[in-house]
Amino acid sequence: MIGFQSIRQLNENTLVLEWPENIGPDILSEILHFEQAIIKSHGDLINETYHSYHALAIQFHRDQTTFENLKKRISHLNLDFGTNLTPATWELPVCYDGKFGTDLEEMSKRIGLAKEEIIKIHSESTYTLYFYGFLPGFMYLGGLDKRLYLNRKSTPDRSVKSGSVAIGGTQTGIYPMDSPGGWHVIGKCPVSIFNTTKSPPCKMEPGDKILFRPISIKELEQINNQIEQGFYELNPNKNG
Amino acid sequence: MGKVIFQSSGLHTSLQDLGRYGFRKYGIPISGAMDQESSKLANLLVKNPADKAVMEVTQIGPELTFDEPTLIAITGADLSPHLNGSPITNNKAIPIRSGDILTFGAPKRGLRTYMSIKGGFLYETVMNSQSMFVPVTPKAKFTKGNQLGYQANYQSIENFATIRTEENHFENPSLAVFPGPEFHWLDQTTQSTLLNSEFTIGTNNRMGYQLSNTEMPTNDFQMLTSPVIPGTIQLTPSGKLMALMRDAQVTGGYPRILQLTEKSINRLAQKGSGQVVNFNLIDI
Repeated sequence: MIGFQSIRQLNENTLVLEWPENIGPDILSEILHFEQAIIKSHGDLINETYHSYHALAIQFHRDQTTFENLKKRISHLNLDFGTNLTPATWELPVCYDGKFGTDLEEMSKRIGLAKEEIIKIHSESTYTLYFYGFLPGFMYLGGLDKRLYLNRKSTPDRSVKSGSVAIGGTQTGIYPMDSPGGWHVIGKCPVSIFNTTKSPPCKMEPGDKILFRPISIKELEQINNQIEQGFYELNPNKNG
Repeated sequence: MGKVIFQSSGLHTSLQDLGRYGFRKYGIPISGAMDQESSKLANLLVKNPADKAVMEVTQIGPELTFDEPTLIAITGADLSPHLNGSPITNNKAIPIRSGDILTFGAPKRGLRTYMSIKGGFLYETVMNSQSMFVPVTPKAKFTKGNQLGYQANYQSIENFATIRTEENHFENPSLAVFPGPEFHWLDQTTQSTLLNSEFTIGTNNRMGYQLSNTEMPTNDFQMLTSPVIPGTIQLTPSGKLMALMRDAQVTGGYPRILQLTEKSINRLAQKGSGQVVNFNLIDI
């Protein structure tokens, strides 16, 4: 076990546990484990928890507990409570056609790989969902192949289309809605990651594995039709 | 059922309660009234629970008509409210009759006004909250011609006393802050500039307030994206500060040098571009 390095109060009712400042599956799994154990043992004292790569934020009920009290409880936490984490694997269709992958050409020049190579590498990796941030439903994914690292655009685009699959620095992700953004767009995922009418609004949970499956424009249109008619359902792969 | 009709929208008029909790793990901001001291007071005056959604009016008010009797209260900024052309006072329950027209005039102090209505507004609840925030709700603000329902269940309230609010809330430039997690990254000189200088409010909205002082040096601090909350003050590479407000994203990658107290967030929410603030560091 790595263990958290610090526990501090952020404001009147929020505390933050911090692990070493690294991105990795071990820290993620420990944070998820801790989060589950804290909710199971002290859920009555807690309003909400969420996390980033290496930090877990806990908002507590001020009328039920204090920072000092909760800190003591957390240091004596029974970690057996957080044992059954079962990450799911999701396969997301992505159309890498130049019609959507508007920055593929430019990216190919800048990193010196053919477009087909970029697509192959991007769609053959397994990604881990670390957390959601930046925008509702924006997944911070780990696992991008080093060969695809490329600094963000120096001038962000004013509007990146919803569903755009993009690469920025050492990260890859999907824009859940139209938004300004500085990442290089390489494709389009027709499936909405964020859905306000569903509970929870996002199907994928932190810790889950994400795969990108290349599809043609024709398949993209078929999926769009199915979504429009309400037939399309994104489900995790069996075996988990 | 009664309805409020927007004859004009004002600058930015939205419905806000005390926020949408439990969804930050999906990247969804809390939202909610910018000045929650004032929004709670508005509800108290019409004997609503504190967490009922109220109308948040920013700087330039809308023109509203009511088609059923009810009771309202206006708190927060003084935007010269008028009922059927006659001035009315803030911080007091006001009976409304069918056909009444509520307008606002010159902003006298503060930036954001709150209007509560007896029994609350009828508006869709998305993820446990009525707070308007795109893309969680379809709209971020009301526009001309919009209608907003309310329970027309007016019963006489005996106590029409005016509640006085703290003058300090609007006039005092001092914001109480806790040291942020990365406060100690700053050298002595920068810490001293931060805590002993005035900062001028620049671009600002429900997501954040930009605060600047030319003495603040540029920096190239690097950190991993980490949790942020309303009131977190980030130091950007240019040396400008970004005070995150109610609609702010849930994680950020700039050093979190200060953290506004809950009371200071409410106080800052009443200030606008060009006004100055200073920081008063307190122990957490």
